[in-house]
Amino acid sequence: MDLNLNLNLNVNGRPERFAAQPNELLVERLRDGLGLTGTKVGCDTGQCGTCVVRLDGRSVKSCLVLTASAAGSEVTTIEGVAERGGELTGLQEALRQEHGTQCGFCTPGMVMALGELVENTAGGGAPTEPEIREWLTGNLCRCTGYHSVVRGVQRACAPAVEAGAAGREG
Amino acid sequence: MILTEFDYVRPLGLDRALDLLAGPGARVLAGGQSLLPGLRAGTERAGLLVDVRHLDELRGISAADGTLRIGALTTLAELAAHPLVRERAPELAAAARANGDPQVRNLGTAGGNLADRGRPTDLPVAALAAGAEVELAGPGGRTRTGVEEFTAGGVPAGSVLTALLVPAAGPAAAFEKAADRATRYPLCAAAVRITADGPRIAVTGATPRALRLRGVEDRLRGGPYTTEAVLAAFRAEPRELFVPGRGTSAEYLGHLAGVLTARALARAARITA
Repeated sequence: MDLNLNLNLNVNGRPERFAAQPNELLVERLRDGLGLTGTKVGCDTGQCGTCVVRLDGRSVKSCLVLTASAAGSEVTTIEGVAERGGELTGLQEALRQEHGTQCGFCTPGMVMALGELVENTAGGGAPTEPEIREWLTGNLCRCTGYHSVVRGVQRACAPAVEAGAAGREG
Repeated sequence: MILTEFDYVRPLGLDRALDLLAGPGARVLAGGQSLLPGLRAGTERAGLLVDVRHLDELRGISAADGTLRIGALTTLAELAAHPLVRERAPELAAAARANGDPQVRNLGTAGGNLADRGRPTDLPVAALAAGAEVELAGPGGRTRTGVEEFTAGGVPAGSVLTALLVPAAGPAAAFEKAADRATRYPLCAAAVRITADGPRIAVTGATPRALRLRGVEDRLRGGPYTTEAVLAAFRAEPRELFVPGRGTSAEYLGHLAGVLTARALARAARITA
């Protein structure tokens, strides 16, 4: 029985058309079908968060989404966050400055998850430290270096004047 | 990768979904946050996934005649943040917020959380304390069932959970949880709502399934809800009510359920006063 489905997906602003099996996971399409290997597979059970992407704006675990169910949606992966060779986003730059990347394996998932938090709180005040830590519940870092990630988010969300002052001190 | 094979259909309406669900091996797919890991682990089976995630008729939150109607596809993130839910069913909003992590809450649905027959989830206990009902659509039309009966039997074969109907209350309700550190599932969770007839108290995780504890309610009727009184009310329950496992004893779980209930009652009573 041929179970292939013909699907459409917009990935990082580009329309993609392909045939997929019903049991294919979105992370498999992104990595193996489209070659977007910035999205990682850590646990494959929905616990570690290295595969987080944005699906119609919301951060989701791409190992817990069927490609077929995502069809017709807009997906943003880590490759679509900043232009290749271009400037990093404010969040990425703040994580870099606070050494929030460490070994780097969990970083794409963290950036995709935290991007939603930063956008949600933009204009409404910076998230508190407990809010940042709670938001990181779904992202496991085996370097156990959450402090520097939290500082990175705080730097990214700090009002522009304070960020400038911090920059001068550094 | 999901090694088991199944077919996939995205019906354009609820009626078509119900037709498809009448077939053998057909399962509802909504947020997929429990079903997909279950299919991969082999603890769940399906021949056909009927994807209802895109059906607008299962969405939306509204209030009428003192009842909140919460569409089954409302995500846990939406439920946790919605002003009407936070104001009139605070135990439900808190339970939604306590689930999983932000990414799971972005896709996981109220309906899926209530219908889950695997590990204990957070919403059923809040729905029990709230005295809620579920609306089901099946081959014979739509029916309403009390959550207590629903948690015992689950979604009937061939049916779809379409909405949760919650009596709107003031803020005299609360939810407390001790989460398993790795999975975020409740080791034990308790929800309470203080009504004119006394407290309604429900517990999950420590018990075989989400249960309303009428014995505890009776012992605490009229208050006061001191920690000592609540713990004593739980000690009077039969030990077999609490299911040991996951490194815990029945005695520990009974005590934990009492502590969480005491905290929830203290918070709910303080808001009432």
